[in-house]
Amino acid sequence: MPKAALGPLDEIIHPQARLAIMAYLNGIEGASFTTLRDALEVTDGNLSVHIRRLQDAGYIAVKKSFVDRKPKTFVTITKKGQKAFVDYLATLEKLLGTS
Amino acid sequence: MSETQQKKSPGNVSTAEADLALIRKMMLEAQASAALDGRYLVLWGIVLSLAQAFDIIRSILTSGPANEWTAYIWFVMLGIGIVGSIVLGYLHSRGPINSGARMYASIWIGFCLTMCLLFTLAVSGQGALLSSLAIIAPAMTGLAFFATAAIINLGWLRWVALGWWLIAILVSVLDSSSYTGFIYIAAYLGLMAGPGLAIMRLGKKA
Repeated sequence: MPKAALGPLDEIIHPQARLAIMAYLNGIEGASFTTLRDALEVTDGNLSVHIRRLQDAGYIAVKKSFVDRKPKTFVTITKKGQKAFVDYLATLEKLLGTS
Repeated sequence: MSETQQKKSPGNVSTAEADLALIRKMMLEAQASAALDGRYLVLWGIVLSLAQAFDIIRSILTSGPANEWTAYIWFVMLGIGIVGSIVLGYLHSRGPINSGARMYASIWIGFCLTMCLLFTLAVSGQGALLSSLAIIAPAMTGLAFFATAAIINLGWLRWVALGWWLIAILVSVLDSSSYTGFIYIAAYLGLMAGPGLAIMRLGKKA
């Protein structure tokens, strides 16, 4: 591969925490806020900020409900988010010369 | 959206490698936590082995073959298993889900409902079915494990399936309630609760 510029990397996904959220959600249909927080080992506040950023970009959808009178946040990846994640992955693989 | 053109420099390559490693780890973790849930197998292994143990005690106390107490014991224990599974399902619904987890659950719910139906038919007067159930039950359990092995991609579960099929053959050969009861207890603990514990441990490691 020439040392010319490769495809653009999506900066919304690029930060490690957001990349981890996208990777986690990509293989499944959805996860609760607490599941994501435990998997990523981040604080509630930190996760909320990243989720809002991804939600604003339309990459994930957030559904809030009440279970046993307790608020429950469920996060799913959108089609736009899946495409962005696949594109990001393809760019990384190009960068490593694995595709 | 702001995007950055990436060049293939050593720094970028190492960052890309780290990103890929993170992606791989997170995807594996999500898949594993969604599909790997051995709690149901542990629950049912314990419930069924207890039911079998109670039935052995019943046969000693009444010194006779299966009677209405057999039905009571099994209905109560199956009820405990079903209620326990519903509670576990409720708790698990708060975690991640995927098609693998859904198929895994479908197989075992289908298996459980079929076995409950066959058992109900057997104790409600289908005598021939009751004796056949001793062979049908382990054979179907083997089938459920075989399908589970493919869905959650655990090759060693096929050996567990083989174990259940061997139990079915052994039970048909022995045809003795005094031995088969103990064989079933060993099978429920070793080939149901045991694999469940192993799957739970894998889920925690993933």
